[in-house]
Amino acid sequence: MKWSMFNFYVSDDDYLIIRNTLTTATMRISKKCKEEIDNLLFRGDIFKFKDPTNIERIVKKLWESGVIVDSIIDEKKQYKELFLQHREDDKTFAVYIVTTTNCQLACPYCFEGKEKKNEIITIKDADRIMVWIASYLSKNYCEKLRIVFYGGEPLLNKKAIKYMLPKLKEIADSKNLLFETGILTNAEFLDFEIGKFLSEYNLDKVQITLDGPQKCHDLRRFRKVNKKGTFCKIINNIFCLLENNFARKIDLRVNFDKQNIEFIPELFDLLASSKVQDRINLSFGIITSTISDNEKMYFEKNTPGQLGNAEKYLWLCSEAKKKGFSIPKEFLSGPWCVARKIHSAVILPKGGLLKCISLVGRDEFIFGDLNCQNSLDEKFIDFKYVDDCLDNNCPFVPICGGGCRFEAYLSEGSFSEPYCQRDLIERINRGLVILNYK
Amino acid sequence: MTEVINQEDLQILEEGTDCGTRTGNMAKDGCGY
Repeated sequence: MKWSMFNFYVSDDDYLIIRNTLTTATMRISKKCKEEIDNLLFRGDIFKFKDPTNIERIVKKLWESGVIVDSIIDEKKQYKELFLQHREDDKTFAVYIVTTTNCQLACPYCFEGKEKKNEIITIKDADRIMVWIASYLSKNYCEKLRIVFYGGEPLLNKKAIKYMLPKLKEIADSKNLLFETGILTNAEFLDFEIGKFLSEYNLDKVQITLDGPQKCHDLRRFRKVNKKGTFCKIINNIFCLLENNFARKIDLRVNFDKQNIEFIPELFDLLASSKVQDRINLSFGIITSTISDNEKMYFEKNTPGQLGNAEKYLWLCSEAKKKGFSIPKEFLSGPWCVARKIHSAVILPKGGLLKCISLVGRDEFIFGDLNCQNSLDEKFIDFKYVDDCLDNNCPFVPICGGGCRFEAYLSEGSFSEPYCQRDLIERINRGLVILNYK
Repeated sequence: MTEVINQEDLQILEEGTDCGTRTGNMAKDGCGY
């Protein structure tokens, strides 16, 4: 037997906290006991599980949880097989529908750039898109249809959403598929009426962004035309969704960088004063680099770097926890996203197909159109980069899967290269173990 | 019979899953502003 290569260890006085990134099993073990097990494993003693001693009972528990594995197991090979098998087994057709490429805001860090094309799904476009989705589902065995409205700002085109959603549900019903809906929106226009409408279609994800309290949110997320802030409307819409139970929970995204970090706990205070902590999933967004020059300059000026981001992320978690919010058990930067799935597509208003939502606004990455019979983009089917990460014996591969493909492109010029953020991922995950368990 | 492990030696903080390929995770903790 041997310790799993996917364990990482955090010291806790006379104890060690061991977390396995593959199984998520988390154990606190005395350092003395760990040393005894090390000696047993070093000597290669065969454990007997009949009438076991205390130490053998502990080893058995660790083995059952994947923290200790059989010596003959090739964990790298096993992980890669699991990775590829999961990709095959995933039968959810996830479709991100870009209802418009336009947005009323001009956030300085937006990866889609400030100069957005004003393409919009018309009724004719919507019909073509739905024919393609129905045809895809006829040719490919799927068990669930998941529709996520995306943009630009998807609610600038409510007409398309209202037209498409009932028909998409009918398509799913006619094929006996499960159906769920999501939306990623700035929420300025997510009012009672559209909230109620969406809630009738198994709305399971609403991602809304607030970049802190009003004074800093409004400096970053304002109207393009008159620079008017959006905070008040958004917060009212969030409370409206929650009070009317249109969404059980809201994923509240808070993008942070040097500009707004110190003010964000004031947002926690505001939300906590309305006692909505158990209805909010906080998601702290690390601003990433992008392709367009202006936004890349903003990133370079305001990013605190991998370790700085890790410290600030953990500080936000710690402040949020003090105010009664739940915080994540781990920080994931993969391994699964829409770009790595077989059954997925990001559909642009005029029918162009992308595989990754971070590529919206970059037509050079369109891999097909509504005449395509499948949704495979050759840029995203080479997984050799996962082998490279495993060969480096990195214990964090199960929670990063070789890194974000968009960031790999930005950093390495290829969607098929590894993109390593180990400093960030390791620091945050060790910190989360301390915040959650120490 | 439940096997009793001395709590001073080992505490189970999270049981974990038998196969952790993160099937529930559809987006990295970072897509979409």
